[in-house]
Amino acid sequence: MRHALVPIAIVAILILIYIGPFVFVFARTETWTFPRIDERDAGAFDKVEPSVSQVVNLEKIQSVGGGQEANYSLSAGVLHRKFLDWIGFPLVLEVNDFNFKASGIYQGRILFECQHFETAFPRPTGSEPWYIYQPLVERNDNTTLKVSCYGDATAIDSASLTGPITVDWTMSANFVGDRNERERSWSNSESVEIRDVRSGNQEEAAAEAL
Amino acid sequence: MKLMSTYSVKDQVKEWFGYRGLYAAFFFAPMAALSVHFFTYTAVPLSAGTFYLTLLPILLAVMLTALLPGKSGIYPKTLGIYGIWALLAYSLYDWVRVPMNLIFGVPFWDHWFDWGASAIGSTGTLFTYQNLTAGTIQHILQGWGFAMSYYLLVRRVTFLGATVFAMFMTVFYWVTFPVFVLTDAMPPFIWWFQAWMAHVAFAAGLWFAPKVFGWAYSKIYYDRARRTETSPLKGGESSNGPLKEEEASNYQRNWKTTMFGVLAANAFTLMIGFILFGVVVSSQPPSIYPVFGYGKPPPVLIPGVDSYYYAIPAAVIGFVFVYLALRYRRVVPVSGLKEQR
Repeated sequence: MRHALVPIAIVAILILIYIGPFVFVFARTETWTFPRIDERDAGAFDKVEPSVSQVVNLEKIQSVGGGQEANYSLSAGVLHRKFLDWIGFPLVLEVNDFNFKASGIYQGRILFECQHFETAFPRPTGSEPWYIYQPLVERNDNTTLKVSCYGDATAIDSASLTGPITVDWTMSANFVGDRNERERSWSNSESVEIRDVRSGNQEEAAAEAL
Repeated sequence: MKLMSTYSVKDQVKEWFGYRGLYAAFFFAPMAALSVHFFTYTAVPLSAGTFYLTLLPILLAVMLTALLPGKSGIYPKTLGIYGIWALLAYSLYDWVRVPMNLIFGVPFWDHWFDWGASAIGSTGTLFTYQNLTAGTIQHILQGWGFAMSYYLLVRRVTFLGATVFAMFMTVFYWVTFPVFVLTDAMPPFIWWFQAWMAHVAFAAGLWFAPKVFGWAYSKIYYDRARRTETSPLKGGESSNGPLKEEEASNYQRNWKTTMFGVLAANAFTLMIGFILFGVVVSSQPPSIYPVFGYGKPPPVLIPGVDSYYYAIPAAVIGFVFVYLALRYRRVVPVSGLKEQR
């Protein structure tokens, strides 16, 4: 009986030695790694903020189909994409399907409308060497895009160019973390100023900016 | 009493460049695949690496055992025995990393997700059980392949030989990961320590496997049937492998030589570690992130004292241990050792 148990005990011990670490890894992944990743992802999703510039640039006025169209631009994007993953490694939140819509309103009249869709925001791939990766993380922490807006040029008058106008905007994007993704959307109404940066007015605008 | 061994260092070096070296290179294949994956900054996926640089070399090695019987000294049965022995080393390697995770939070399976995704070509999040499973198998294959390489390389398993081999692995690890693997770019001291400690356990596994399996075979076959014929080891084979009787019987390294040799190997590894640590730390822009675990800062980084300086005492200690190892270097028969005890 004793001799029969010895081989069984040997085999059992060897199996325990062999699979023990991997049982630990899978159990720890379930109880530590994945919850930690989920927690950090959720923190990153909550931390991210929208950004819309406080200045809208009037870039040009051109004739379109017998009318006058004014071209504007503003910058919009998301801030604080950077976050630390489950091992403390810096990552940048993936931003997909970024959608931005805005209307510039002055005294009840729509001055311009904007709509922008961006498939994906730039981010480091994770395959770069550290000396390339780390600056990319910093650079992509806050990402804003130049959004083009269009409106009827006849709606602009000297008052709208000097006084504040209201921009109603909505923004949505799909954020992807290490293991989770979340759709976030924001909307707001805020006062902005229009800056005429058409050629001839750029120097003046630059001086104002200073 | 001093005896000449039938198995000189010269013979061993000659064998390393012969069939044993060739076989060891073939079984190093899983790590070669990973190295190419790393050195190309993951441009070569692990799936391609595993196919071309792991499957094919090991297939070739298995075929060579049939083509070169008797000349190589490696037979299909030898591969089978080594294959079983090689399971223990990486298991111990992982066992010692378990408390390091629990105490310091150092994750040792973080790359397994990457490897799994690269091996099976999955897209989307890395953190799935499919990726972890595939990566775990990659890890096992790498550890097993390294252990196979050792058993194929050496004719006799010794603790000193296993330690030297494991120290080579440690240095390889210290160089490859911080330089080529992004998430290991600025590892804290605990990471360096864990790499060394795990490889010491690996060495212990390499050394211990022939003994434990020899003992297990004897328990299973000898005790049960009380007949030596049922043993998987034929006459002339020892638990250390299919050695010729005259090679196996009269060679036993003095324990002091082993001890000082092991300490010397560790001291020189430490020396290389300090140099590499200095190179890695000074060649990379300083990290502003507490990468790894709970963000422990590297304690060997003292302002004004470069880690290169630590390499000097490590080298001195290494040479002292080499001197002591040589001083006590004696080759005595196994029977003589038993008498001494």
